[in-house]
Amino acid sequence: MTNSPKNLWWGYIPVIVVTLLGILMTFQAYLEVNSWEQQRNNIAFRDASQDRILVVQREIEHTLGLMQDIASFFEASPVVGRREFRKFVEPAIKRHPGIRTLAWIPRVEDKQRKTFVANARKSFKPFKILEKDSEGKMVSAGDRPEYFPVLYVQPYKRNRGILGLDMAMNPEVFSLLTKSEDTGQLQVSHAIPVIDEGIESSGFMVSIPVFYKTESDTEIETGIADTPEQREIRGFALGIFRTGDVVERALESLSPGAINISYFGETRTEDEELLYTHQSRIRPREPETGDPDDAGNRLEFEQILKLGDRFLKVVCAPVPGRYEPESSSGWIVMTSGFSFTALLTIYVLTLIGHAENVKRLVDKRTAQLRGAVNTLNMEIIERKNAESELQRLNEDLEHRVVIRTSEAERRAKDLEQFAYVTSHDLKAPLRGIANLAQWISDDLQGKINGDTQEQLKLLHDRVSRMHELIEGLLEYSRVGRTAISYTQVDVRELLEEIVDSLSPPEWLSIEIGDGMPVFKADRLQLSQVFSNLIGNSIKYHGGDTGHIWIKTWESGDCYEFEVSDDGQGIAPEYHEKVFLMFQTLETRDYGSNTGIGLALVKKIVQEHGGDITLNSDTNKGASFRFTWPRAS
Amino acid sequence: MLDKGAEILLVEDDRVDIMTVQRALKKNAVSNPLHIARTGLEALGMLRGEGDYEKLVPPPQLILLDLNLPKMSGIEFLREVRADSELKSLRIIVLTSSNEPRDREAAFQYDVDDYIVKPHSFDEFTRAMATILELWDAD
Repeated sequence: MTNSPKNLWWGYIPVIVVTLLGILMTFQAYLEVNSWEQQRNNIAFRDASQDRILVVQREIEHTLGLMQDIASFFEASPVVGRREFRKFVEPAIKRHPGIRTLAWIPRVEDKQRKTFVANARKSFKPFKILEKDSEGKMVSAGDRPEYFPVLYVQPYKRNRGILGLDMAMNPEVFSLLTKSEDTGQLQVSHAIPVIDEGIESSGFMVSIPVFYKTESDTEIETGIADTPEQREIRGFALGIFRTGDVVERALESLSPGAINISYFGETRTEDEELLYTHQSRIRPREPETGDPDDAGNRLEFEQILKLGDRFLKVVCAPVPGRYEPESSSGWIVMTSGFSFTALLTIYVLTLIGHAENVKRLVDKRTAQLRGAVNTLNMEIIERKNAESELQRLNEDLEHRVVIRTSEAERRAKDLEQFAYVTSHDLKAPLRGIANLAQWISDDLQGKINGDTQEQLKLLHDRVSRMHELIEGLLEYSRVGRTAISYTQVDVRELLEEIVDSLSPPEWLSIEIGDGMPVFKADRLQLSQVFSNLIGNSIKYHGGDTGHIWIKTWESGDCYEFEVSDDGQGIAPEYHEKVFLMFQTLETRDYGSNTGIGLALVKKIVQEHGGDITLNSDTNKGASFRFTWPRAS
Repeated sequence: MLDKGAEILLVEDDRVDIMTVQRALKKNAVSNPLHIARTGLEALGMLRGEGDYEKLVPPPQLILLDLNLPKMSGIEFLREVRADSELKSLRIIVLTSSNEPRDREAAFQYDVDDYIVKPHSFDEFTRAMATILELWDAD
């Protein structure tokens, strides 16, 4: 039996399904893991970014708070000396490197100019109210209704250039101051360039107004601000801050996060512009894979920061190579998935192979079995044919047997009829002849001569002999025709009777041995055997003194009997002949020797399932042994 | 002994055998009348007075019956006699040359008084006849 290729392919469908499923699931898992990683990464990045923005916001608030503190300081004391101002702001300047400038700018009316300058010169001798001329040179300010000179400024070394400078002449600063006076609130400028030791960086100005105390101020201690128009301006606290330093100062408190933070804000031109970028201390990972500007997968976090009444846009981006999703887990999952799929495929293949093998084996065995069954069937058919043939032959045979049997039965009947006819129809005329001869002899007594007498005697003898032959023949044919009838036989008693009936001569002694059995047998036929054998011994002894011995012993399930004598014996060449019908060893003239006796004996013995043997030699006596089965 | 004057019927077909019986009776000095029938049918006729035969009156005290007879065998004759209410009590002795057990059994089945195998020699025959007649009880 062979598999068609189609069947073969169908057998591998499970393998293909398993493999495809494995690959599919592996890809799915890979994507899931990657997306999960990405998400996790995004969250981590966002958290880190938020942390950073938060501290920056706090720092900014803190910085603005510092300005508020200065304002409060001026509000609290009507007169603040240069020294006091320095003492107040110094610690803050030390703590906050982002502070570029902290200044106190009072409002001075023209009528107060002289007093003001005189007072200022008490602590700073060269003080004057200055302005920049068209060439940028510092010159004493011209006459104006009011001035906004920088009275105190810290840190001094960096800012001494602006001491005494009338800020009203700087439109940028002035607009900020005016705005804060108008709103009565802290105001933050748009981004300004801050030049420090030749390096320009981005910064911002913060202005906060300080008003003279009014009656209502003292009365109402609730802190509810009066409208600015009702209040008279005393001066302004002005701060200039470097954005970068503020940010760096804030981020100092955090461990490096590998995040670059960019700040965008309004500039003079009202455009949004990059003010500062915080570069993380963590270096980009080497080697940098792909294009760093590749924004495809770029992480970014954006938030708006409040800076007073202005806003700062903060954009966080990871250092290149950082905050990239761990692709290794994905690869591990992929590798594991593929390995597992491969293993599974191999396993399924093995299973299918095994199943194929088993199937092939089963097919082979089935084919063998079918072959055997076919052979068997053929054999059965053959056998049946043979059987029917045999039956036919049997029937034929039976038929023949029936025919033969009936034939045999018919022949047996014929024989019986023949025996009967012989017994009656032959014997009757013979007897007639004998009687007639007797009567003739009797009637002619004395009238016939010796020769005739002798002839009549011979006639009588021949008739008698014929009579005996007929009797013997009848007896012989009767053996086997008559049913065997079993009776309890005492063999010793039987032998004594036989010996008595045979009337042996006196010179012959007959000894009946010990242990003669008593058993069930056909008495008549056993008696016939014994009387024939003993009779023969007597008849043919041939001596004038002698013995006949009759002995017995058990032999298996038979009794064995022996009749032996010390007579003339029988020469070995005649041993077979003696058992044949009508065979005699003496002349026909002798007595009543019919030649039937031993043939009859042999037939009787064999008819009963025994056998007879002769052991004898000339002048050494004769010994006949025969077996007679014990009837069961 | 047989009654004087008691009749004997011999059923026998063989002349020599008839002579043998006659001689034996003579030798034994038996002078009772002896009727002879040559076949069974003839014997039946004589007993019943049928056909050409005169009925034997009184019936014979003894019938000597051969078995091998022409026309009607001795056994058939026995059957007829025993089936006949008038004749069934007749005394019959079978006198035959058959020594077959079969014949012997058949004869005794029909209640014969004796079954004698004809001796071969005349002297023995005479002795056998003497014995029969001597031991005969006429009852």
